[in-house]
Amino acid sequence: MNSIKIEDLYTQLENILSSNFAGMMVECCTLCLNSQKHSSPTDLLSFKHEKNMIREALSIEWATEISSKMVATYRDENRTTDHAAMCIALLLASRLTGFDDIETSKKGDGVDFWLSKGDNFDFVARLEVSGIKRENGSNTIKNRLKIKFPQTQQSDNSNVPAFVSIIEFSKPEALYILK
Amino acid sequence: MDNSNTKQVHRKAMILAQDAYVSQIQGDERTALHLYEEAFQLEREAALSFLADESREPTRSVLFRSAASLALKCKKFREAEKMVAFGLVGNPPIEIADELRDLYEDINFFRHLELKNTELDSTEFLLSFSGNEVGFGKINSREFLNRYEAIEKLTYRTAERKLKIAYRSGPKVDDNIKNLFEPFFSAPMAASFAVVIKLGKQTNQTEMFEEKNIQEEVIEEIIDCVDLINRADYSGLKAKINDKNYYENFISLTKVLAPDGDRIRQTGFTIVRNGHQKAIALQRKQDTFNQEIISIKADKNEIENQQAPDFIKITGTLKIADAQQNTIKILPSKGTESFKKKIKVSEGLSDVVKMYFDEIVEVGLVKKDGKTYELKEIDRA
Repeated sequence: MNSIKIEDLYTQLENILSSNFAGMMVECCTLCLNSQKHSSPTDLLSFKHEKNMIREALSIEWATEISSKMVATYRDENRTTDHAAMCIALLLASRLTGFDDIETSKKGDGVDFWLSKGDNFDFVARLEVSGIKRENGSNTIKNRLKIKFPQTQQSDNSNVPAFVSIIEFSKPEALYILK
Repeated sequence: MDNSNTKQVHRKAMILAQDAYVSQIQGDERTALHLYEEAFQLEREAALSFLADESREPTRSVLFRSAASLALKCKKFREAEKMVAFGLVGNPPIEIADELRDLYEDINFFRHLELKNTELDSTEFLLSFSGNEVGFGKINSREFLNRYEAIEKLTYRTAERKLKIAYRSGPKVDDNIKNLFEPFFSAPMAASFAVVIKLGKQTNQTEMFEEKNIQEEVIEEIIDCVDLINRADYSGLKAKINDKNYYENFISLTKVLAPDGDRIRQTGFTIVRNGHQKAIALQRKQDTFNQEIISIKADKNEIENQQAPDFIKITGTLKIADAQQNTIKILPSKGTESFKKKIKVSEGLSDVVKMYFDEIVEVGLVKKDGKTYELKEIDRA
């Protein structure tokens, strides 16, 4: 079984992520996994859907310890879950999208991710990341896809391809869909 | 600048922007502003190297959008406008063009937060809105009136708390409090949509506070607490509001004031203190508040229970069941089953519940025992 290590985010993307931002994503990811009673290593199912659904079982591991400072810092649960999802989505991006490079841009209050290839400086495909701590009520992967897909529909009109990545932390699962 | 240089400049800008973002989340606004400024200068340079190359889309327009967002973060409104204009002049893909236009609206909103020919005294503040239901000097009446009602309730509750009055369970506001704090709003201003709100009929109520007048104190408290919620600094908010009912009430009313992200995109507040303007934009969307309202009791088990099957959501018309016991009932919508259990409302949520009487709402409930559920969240359906 292939394995991904959360802390690899620091080194794998050191040219595009500041160590502070990568650190925040790593800590949020550890908190989310821990809140769902997972311990390192744990199984992560990834689903990639282009023409067919391709399923791969991965192992995910981490060494970051939860501290009381972390708990106090990341009190905004939605934002913490989103940052945690970004961590896993970025680590899996090249494996599940076929693109070998990532770029970021500033959008509103947050960060926007783009996929690119080779040495060219071209933003080729958008990466929209969304996190669910634990599916409940209407907060499900299925409903999240319904919300996400009208957004990516616009990409079709404008010929900007987009990958939607939804990370669920209780199972945990990572879903990648190319629109 | 060649491709590889542009890429390096852009990456450097983004690393600074990410550090600024982290500083902002950690509450270090000063460092964030400084880093955003540095990031903007670099991103501007990267974007301008694409100015004449209209074929390089979406890269060109994304870079201009990114530079404009950074300029807005460091309050360089004119630079932000220019970056949006450069982005739109090319051939941006539809979605990026829409994002550039949205950004232009945000820039205008922030520009309007700055007072131009309006003077505010210390008992006044400017309340502004932007969004798809907001025009030049116009706003959807329901969007405005709901938020105005929330301002009114927030003002009375904050005044009562600052005067160390125990949390009032009934709706009736004491006449003295009403005289001192009743909000009055001016004729709308043709900004995005803005009104000046003045507290109290009289202006010189200095006897209760020695150095500041009490309305000034209340306005500052409201704005500081809204800002803390906007930044999700709940420990800061708890330090300011340590009474559970007042705390719960403040968050639930701020949720009503908050933007939904579409019809209303931002709610702004501007005050003047010692000749300086202070403006905040409440951008946190209403649908991100529920977890915080649930976690008010800060009981980890309770939060986890909310995720268990005991947490349910139902939709229907909101009615009072028993005003004395603070219970409500939800009449079923067509085709749905009647919910017959008793629904208890905590004191802190009662103001918001009253705003939604007779309306169709979606409520989140947690089972307390076999017969009773407790209201945890409420939204207009």
